[in-house]
Amino acid sequence: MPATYEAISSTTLTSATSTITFSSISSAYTDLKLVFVYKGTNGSAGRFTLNNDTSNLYSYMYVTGNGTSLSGTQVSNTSGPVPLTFGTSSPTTTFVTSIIDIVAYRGSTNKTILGTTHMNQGATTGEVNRVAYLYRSTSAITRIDLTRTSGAFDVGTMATLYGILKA
Amino acid sequence: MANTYVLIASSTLTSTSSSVTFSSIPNTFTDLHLRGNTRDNSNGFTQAYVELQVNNSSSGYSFNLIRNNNGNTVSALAQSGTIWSEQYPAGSGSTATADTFSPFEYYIANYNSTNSISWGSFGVAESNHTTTEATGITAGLWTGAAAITSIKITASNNFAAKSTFFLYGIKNA
Repeated sequence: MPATYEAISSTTLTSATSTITFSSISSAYTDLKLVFVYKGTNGSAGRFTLNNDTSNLYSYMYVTGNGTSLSGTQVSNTSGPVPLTFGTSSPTTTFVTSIIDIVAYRGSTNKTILGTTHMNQGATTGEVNRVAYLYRSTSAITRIDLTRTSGAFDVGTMATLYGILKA
Repeated sequence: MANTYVLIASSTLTSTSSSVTFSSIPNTFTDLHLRGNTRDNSNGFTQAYVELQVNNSSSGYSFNLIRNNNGNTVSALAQSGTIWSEQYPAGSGSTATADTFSPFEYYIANYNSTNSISWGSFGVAESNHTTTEATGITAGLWTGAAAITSIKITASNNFAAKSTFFLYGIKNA
């Protein structure tokens, strides 16, 4: 049986870094999965940008919970980078897990993305969310940038991009 | 290029069992992905849940979640000091919908870390009954400061026969 779930590239930070970039992403796969385990040097949110495009071709809709209450909304025609979390400050001592699934990333239609973040800060604070993103571009995804609203990703942050084949 | 998504171990129950344990988990992967499809054998439509325990540790756990466990109300919850990592009702017992199982998954990233280890879980249940449908999304954290070498999954009562568990390892290279 052929390998259908392959690591394209992986980065583990040994020093604080503001931007993690996956570029020249191969077109050899069907879908992409980005597994991002991170913490920051301050509480600002993690974000991502596709194809280095900061135009307003993005939209998203989310549901999120912070341990005591729920919220959700839809945001249209917004500029990249787009957020991975909504409301709760990112931790500086524990790690957040965000998983980004980009379906049909090389196709000629707009790109739909499923985002999931699990953030637990060791007490009764944190955030868990699921997000539907849309990137209204018909170009193949060849680059992903991970940034924060401000500040850097801290040492130990790990990002791995997987390619998933349908055959 | 090597296959990076590998089945480490699996278990399919042939009789009821209170828990399933995967031990001696190798450290050769980056992340772990646990997938299950389970049924609790508690009577009637009693809501059931799954506990996740690592390294036989009884401390250092916390979670926060979003869930709908009665078919119409979505709520948020956070707790610490517990191994109660995900909650969802499973179709169960002799008076519940027969042959109905509930899938769940845990994604445990960077499980060899000696810092705190975080994970996410997602589980659903549908029993054709107005008060036992469920969807649960959970963020969990364990501050045991050790690589994970064993995982124990415990039912709120007992897992029914035919419940299945699959543990996968994922490499980043």
